[in-house]
Amino acid sequence: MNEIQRTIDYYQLLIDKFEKTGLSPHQLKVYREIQDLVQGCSSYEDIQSKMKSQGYYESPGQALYLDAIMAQKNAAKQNGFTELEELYLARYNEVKADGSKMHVTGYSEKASSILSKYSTLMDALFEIYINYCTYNGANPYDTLRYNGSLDNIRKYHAVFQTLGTSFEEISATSYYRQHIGLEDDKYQMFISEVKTLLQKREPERSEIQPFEEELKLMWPKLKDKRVEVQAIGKLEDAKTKKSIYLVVAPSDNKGKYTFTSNQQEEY
Amino acid sequence: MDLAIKQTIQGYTAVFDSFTISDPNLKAEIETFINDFNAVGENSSDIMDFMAKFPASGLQEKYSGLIAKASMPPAVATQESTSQQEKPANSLPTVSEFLEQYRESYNAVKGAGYRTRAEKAYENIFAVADRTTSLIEMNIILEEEQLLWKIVTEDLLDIYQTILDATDPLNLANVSRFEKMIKTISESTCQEELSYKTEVDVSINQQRTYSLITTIIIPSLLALTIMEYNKCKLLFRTWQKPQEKLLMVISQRATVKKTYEFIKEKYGWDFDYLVNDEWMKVWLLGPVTVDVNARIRKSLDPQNIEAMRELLFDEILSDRTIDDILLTEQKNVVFFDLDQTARQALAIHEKVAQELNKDIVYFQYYEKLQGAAAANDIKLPETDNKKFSIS
Repeated sequence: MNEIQRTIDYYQLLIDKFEKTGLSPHQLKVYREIQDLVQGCSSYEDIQSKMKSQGYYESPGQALYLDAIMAQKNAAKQNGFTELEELYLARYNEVKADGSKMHVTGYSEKASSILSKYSTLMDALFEIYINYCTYNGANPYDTLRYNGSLDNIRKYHAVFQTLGTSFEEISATSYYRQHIGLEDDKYQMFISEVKTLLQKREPERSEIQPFEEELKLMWPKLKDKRVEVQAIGKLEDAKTKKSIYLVVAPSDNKGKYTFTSNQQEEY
Repeated sequence: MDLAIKQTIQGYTAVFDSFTISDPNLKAEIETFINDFNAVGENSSDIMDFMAKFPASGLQEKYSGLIAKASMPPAVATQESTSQQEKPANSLPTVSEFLEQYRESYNAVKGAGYRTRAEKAYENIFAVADRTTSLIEMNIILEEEQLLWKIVTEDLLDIYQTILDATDPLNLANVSRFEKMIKTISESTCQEELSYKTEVDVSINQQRTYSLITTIIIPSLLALTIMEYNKCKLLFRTWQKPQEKLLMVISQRATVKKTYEFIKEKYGWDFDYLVNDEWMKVWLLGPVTVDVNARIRKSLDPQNIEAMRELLFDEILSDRTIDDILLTEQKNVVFFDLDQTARQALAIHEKVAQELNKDIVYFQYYEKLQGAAAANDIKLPETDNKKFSIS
């Protein structure tokens, strides 16, 4: 079979590939055009000459670029990144209208800036959740954890406004919501409770009073029991150890962790 | 160099990153072009001066030619380069000679040790020389069998499969992340498909990872509050400011109750659920990564699970009064972390971990994998594990 026909066959392979994925429409178009061009040629020199004169030296590169931008735009749309999608679409339109704009800079910095903003918003929501959990596990007398977690919730809540949005908007957006591993109804409880916690700075009297009342009841029963209390302590100390292990992952997901290499220290 | 010139040069040269260029000769041509381009930039007073010098130097035409070559099929590119050199038609390279341009890249891959798929991909390319002597037939075989595309995908699979093989199989977020990436890479047939699917995968994987973290802090949180309660009891026994310490026992008992209710309400989990889930159970024991992939971790003694169970159910959640609790001996006591010998123990554990991991490819080639992962913008698991802790 002559080499021109085989060159046509070669471009058909590219056309078939790009047709199949549907994600490279510009390259598909260009290679169809090149294939048509080759069909009218009699030699490789003829191919090169016609490709050069008809702009097919530059167009595959531009087609590749446009397809790459479209892939990013479609991924941004799938991920719910509206602002990023709009940026890629604007970039696509700009280069489609004028191929030389491929070399104009600034767009990738804008894309990085938008992604950085998404990341900051995600981190803020995540930190609010972590501190919400910390608060729910904090002793009211432990000001570092209790008051500190409330302060952190306020601190990260403020991030949303600085980026032109709000906790309500971000927490309701599917992309961010999917980062928090709660069922929907429990997630709504978390959102609602955070809004209440924003106003709280320290434990309320009603939280601490029951402890003080219990202390008044219990201390009289224990104040003369030092010897007994410390004797219990000695019995427990005799049983305790300082002891750690290595935990080794199993070889598959049906297996169990292995605890090995026990290291101990006198207590 | 003027900033506007620098940014303009970056804009032009960044386009080369859009192509997968395997040909070392073309790579060398591009590198030479970039150096010459930068030299023109250095010798220009401002952007207007630069834009005048760019075409006048012949570099603009050179640029168009390089872009065209980077996007052309190999045989046509070869025709172009040979015609530019004004060689007669009968001095075209043979198929074998043409494919030899991939030898240098192959040798680099072979030297890495773990890149066995990529090695095979290159060997399949060289084997084409045994199948045809025609350059156009070579092109067709390369495209039909996706042999050049496989250089990209097989190399990525070498990285991801190696990491997956060394991942804790119970760490479902990491396992599903790498399994998905491997599937995407294996099924993609062109760069746009790989780009699109990878971008979507990365977003979903991030959601899964964060979602997992928001669940594993739960056993850590419960363990923390129970151990804190135990500590309050020990401090009370010292009889240093006993009323103050007793108040802490009382308040910490209430804190654990509140935490346990929070977990049951928000997640529907109780203590047995956490203990019976193999992945969750270890998070009750304060695990700390020992090797770089968190396949092996240091933990507190597993006896602490029974100690925590007793503290939680026999004391904290029970109807017993505090004085009764403090005057009753625990059956199962908490075992503590090491103190004086912590460093020596860590050294022993690191050595044991190294021995246990020695046959796993990931650990054999860890440093090379780090470099390859960074070059392909892949985040290795150990950078994620830094988020897996609560204090």
